[in-house]
Amino acid sequence: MAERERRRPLGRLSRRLRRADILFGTPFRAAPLLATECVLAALGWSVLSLAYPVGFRAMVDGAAAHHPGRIVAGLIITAIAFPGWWVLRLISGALNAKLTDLGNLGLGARIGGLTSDAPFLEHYERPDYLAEIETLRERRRNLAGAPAQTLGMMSSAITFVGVAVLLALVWPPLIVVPLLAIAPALADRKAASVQKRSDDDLADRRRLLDQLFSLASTAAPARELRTFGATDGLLARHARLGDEINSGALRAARVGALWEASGWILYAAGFGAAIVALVLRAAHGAASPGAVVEVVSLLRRAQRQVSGASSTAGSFAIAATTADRLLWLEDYVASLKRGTGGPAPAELTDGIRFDHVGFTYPGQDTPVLHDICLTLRAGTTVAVVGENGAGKSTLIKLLTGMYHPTSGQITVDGRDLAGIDPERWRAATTGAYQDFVRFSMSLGDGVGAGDLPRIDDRAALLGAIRRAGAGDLVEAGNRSSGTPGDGTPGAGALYLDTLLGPYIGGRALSGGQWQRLALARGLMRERPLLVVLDEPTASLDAPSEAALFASYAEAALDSAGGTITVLVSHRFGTVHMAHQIIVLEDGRVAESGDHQALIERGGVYAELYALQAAGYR
Amino acid sequence: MVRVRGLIKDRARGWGLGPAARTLAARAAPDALSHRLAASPRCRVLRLMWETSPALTIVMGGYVLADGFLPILALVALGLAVGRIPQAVAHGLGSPSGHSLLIGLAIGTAAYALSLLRSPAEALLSAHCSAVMSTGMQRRLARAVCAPAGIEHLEDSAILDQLASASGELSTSRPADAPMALASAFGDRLSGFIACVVLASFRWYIGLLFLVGWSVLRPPLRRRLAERATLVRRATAELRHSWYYLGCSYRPEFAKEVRVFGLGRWILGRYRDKFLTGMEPSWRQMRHFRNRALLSAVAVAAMYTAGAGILALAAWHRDVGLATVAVMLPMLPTTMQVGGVSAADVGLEQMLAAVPDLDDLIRRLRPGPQGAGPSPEEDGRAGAAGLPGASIRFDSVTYRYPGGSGAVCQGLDLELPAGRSLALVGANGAGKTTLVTLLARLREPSAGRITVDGIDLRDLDTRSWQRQVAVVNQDFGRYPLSARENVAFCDLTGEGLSDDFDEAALERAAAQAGALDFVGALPHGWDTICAPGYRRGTDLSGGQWQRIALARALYAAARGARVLILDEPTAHLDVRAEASFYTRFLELTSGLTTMVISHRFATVRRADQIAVLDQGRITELGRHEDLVAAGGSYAEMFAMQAARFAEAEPDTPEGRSRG
Repeated sequence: MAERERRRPLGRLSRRLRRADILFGTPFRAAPLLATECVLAALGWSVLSLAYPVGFRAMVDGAAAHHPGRIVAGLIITAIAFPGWWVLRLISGALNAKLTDLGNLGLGARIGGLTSDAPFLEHYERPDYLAEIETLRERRRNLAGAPAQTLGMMSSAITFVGVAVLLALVWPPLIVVPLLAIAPALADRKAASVQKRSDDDLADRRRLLDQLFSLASTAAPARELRTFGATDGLLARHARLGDEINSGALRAARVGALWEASGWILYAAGFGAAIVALVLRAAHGAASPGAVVEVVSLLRRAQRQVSGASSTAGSFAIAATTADRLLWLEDYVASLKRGTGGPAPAELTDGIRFDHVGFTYPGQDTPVLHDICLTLRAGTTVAVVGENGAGKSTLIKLLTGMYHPTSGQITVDGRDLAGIDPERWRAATTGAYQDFVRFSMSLGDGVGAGDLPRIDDRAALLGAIRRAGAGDLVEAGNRSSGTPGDGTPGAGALYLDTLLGPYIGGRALSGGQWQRLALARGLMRERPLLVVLDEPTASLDAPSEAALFASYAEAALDSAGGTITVLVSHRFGTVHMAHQIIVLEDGRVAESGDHQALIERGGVYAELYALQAAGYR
Repeated sequence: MVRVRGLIKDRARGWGLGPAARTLAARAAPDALSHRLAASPRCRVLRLMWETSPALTIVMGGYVLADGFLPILALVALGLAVGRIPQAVAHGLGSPSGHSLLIGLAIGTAAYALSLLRSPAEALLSAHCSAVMSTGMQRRLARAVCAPAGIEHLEDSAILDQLASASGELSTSRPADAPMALASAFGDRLSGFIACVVLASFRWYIGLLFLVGWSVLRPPLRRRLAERATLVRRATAELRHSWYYLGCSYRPEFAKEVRVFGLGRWILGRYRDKFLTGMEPSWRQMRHFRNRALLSAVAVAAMYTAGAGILALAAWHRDVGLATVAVMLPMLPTTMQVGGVSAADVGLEQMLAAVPDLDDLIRRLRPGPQGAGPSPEEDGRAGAAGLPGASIRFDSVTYRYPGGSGAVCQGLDLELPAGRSLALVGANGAGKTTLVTLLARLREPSAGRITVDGIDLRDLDTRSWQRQVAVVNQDFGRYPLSARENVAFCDLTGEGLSDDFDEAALERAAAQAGALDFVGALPHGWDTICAPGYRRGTDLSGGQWQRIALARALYAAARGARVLILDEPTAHLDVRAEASFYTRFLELTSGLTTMVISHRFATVRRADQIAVLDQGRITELGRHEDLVAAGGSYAEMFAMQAARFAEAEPDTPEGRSRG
């Protein structure tokens, strides 16, 4: 990537511009007024900070020459400059804090928008991508501070130029001193790159450390830790990992500090030489005592700026690498969105056809699906069975457009699915999964998420909840009292506005209760073209399961739009009701047909069916 | 130089800072003062730092002193050198004045050059401090949350809030950076104080004016900054919502549904709303801060004009020499640091706000008689090894979630004979999982008692009893550890597994759970890390995890646990695996006191006894055949599932032959 850019200076420039936009653009667009105030405050205090050394000079020289006019002039300059500088800097800090908050907000939305916008799941399945995104999220705070840091660097620049000019006015060779500041600046860059390398190196272990901590502090794993007596082991592991991370991080910090120190020593040498030279000149009458005081004061300002700027530059460098990560993500998402196309059909007349479809997960060698040829007819229910790892979930992911096949094609009423905009295709689908989400929000929102336009349609919500067999779980109406969720599970009625999930202080539900809400969510969309049920009833009790399949069978029956319902299940008591049953084995279609046909065939399906039926005899 | 230093000392004695300070200190009762000091977040941070690393604390102390003294020393020495310039011009550098000029110049330049190393020193120290403190604080928190033997504290939203705050989730400033920020602030204050002392050597009242002036101006400003931190802390609930929404947008577990339902933009809109609602009060607060700062600026201007004016007047009247003017002028702005309020303070206040939460959490979770929930090892309580020999009994057990309205269990009676198996069935939300946590003493019954061989659970050593219970939870743990550690979980130690680790038992448990084959096929076998995204890591499927979880419990049983609890143990298994599980159910559970929770009757019916849980009570209890014959709710549920097979039955010769 880097090489390609070096060859294309234009690409590099545009990348820099985009990076600049990430670093400063976000808050300036979000709050132009605030951003302007911040700039003005920073400008003001930088200029005023240069004014009072000049006032000092006037006062000292006035005292040396016994010149009352100069003394008074110096007094007035400093009496205005100092309090002004003081208050502007304070206000500037307060304003910057808000700017940073806004930056934090904007960047969170940007990162979240990109990851949730990427139409495919590839970035979730590849460890390197996942690590990049995780680092990006962690460093968001750092990036959010960038605008404030930029303002800091702007003040530094102003101070620097101002100091240089004023020094040159005193004695031109002095201009060299601020220029020497380049040494610490370069050394800091070096230190930042050392830091980055160490961070990359430690990323894995840091993530594990945080995961271990969250295991220790989350209720469900905490139960296991206690019953397996693994609490102490986990704590010891956490402690050892922390030590490892620390020793790695400190090694890098020491190397970095050595670099920084060498830069500063160079600067200090120049600084010392300049003062000594100036004082000696003054001792020979070539400079006034006031000039010495002014120069010392100015250099002190410059030094503060350098050390401020160098620590700013350090975090800024990290922010810049973080911005590059964000750019990478943007490019990645853009590359995915490129060439995604047309609208989904309004209804299915023919069906969905798999034509010699093969699939291999990105970054892996072994195909998960081989040469799948299937026809899912419009208006039917299709059951997919097979052992774990047979490729059932992958088939579902291809159907919902989370991936495109690596070979062959899937057609929807004759149109290539790869040519349909994934977002629009998915808007015509719905479903429920084994690893369904337990949305920590109000119960109604968690269900309504299944069909956003109708999220506030109470009748629709209650209808879906009822059809998912959760009708007895949820009371109609809102809680009259409006008491906040107490973060505890337990009895008591649930309402549409009941907050769920302990993380936000809402009610905890049992696994089966959550699952029924996930099913209700999957039932929200009206007239979908495709319904996928990927083992959604694993933790449901018998009556719920019965009610659920009755309602899906009902929905499939009156699917005038040709809805195809695809069910992945291990429960043959349910599977046998499907119009078509597909048996997958090692990524291939082993058998396909209706229950009767497959039983007569006496193959895998018949064997598995018999195995399970035996449990009820 | 030497003379001037003596002068400063004389003056200091003259206006008697010492006695004044002593009076101030004496005014507050010593006890109350030390108590208040100990309670202030700043002192807590320092104590935390000291406890975490004494050496680092001392080094930081040195840094503070150098940071405070060096810049002033440089300014004073250079000022004195400047004061000698006119004489040096007149008499040359070889004269005594010329010599003292050179000495001042040398000291000043050296001090300045040294003070330039502040930046790398700070970088190094802050890296040290941040590393040591962040792991140290997280370690304390982890230890604190692991201390209670129960788990109710992890369901208490107040505690979870504190946890979030203490682990720095809520602010942009990491609490671990607090000590370094504090050290920098101390260094600045010290500089400011010394500058006041230097000014006092010129006119005692100017030194005092600046010292008092800044001390009066600073607290209201600081208070406002602190209020901001408090407001952010108070907005925790809203912010937590907002972080949750953000998490929904990028975390893998949400990815599928976010895409299927097109939730991206909606979720981020919610994130934005909640964030803004949470932050708005603190932003409003910042406007008050700004007004106050502008008001203070007027006072600063007056104070500065008075100080500089008196110096100017003295210079004009030639009451003081050039040296004094040159030394005192740069001191005027430097005094500001005694009451410096800077942008860094905002961050500091946020960091400090997290510290009381840390302390408070650790105190609240410390096991003891006053602590809620079961307490771990207490003296004189019996170990549980070998239990149960006869039975586990629930004796009219009632359980209410703390703060919850209704009871989950209501006077529940149940007996689990040792070495036998019991299946628990009931509707979702009937309280089956709660029953498991009560049995494992992860919760304390609100009323009634649970006994093992007649011994009340409360009289047993909690940790020891918990180790007797091996559980396959419905939401079993998927640990980012190696496959071996995931199974031999009860032997986990800081590095690898304990010495008692039993390779043969591991293989046996894995084989019984049907995990041996796929573990062997993993890229690094038993050493494969069971989490994607790690070196040597890979993702396992739901069914594979289920087998690992089962193997984990079986291994714990092989290592001495006598009670096996299986909460939906086949939910993620395919047909063959499930069938093989229930055909081997008796073998797997032989000799163990087993409780199995399942909706799958193939599993349930193999148990020695079946109990139906409804509305917090056991409503039916007996063998499968008896319950089916009794025609109660169990028979109804069974019939409903069996009917699905019956419908499709007539033409299935294989099915019939197996019956």
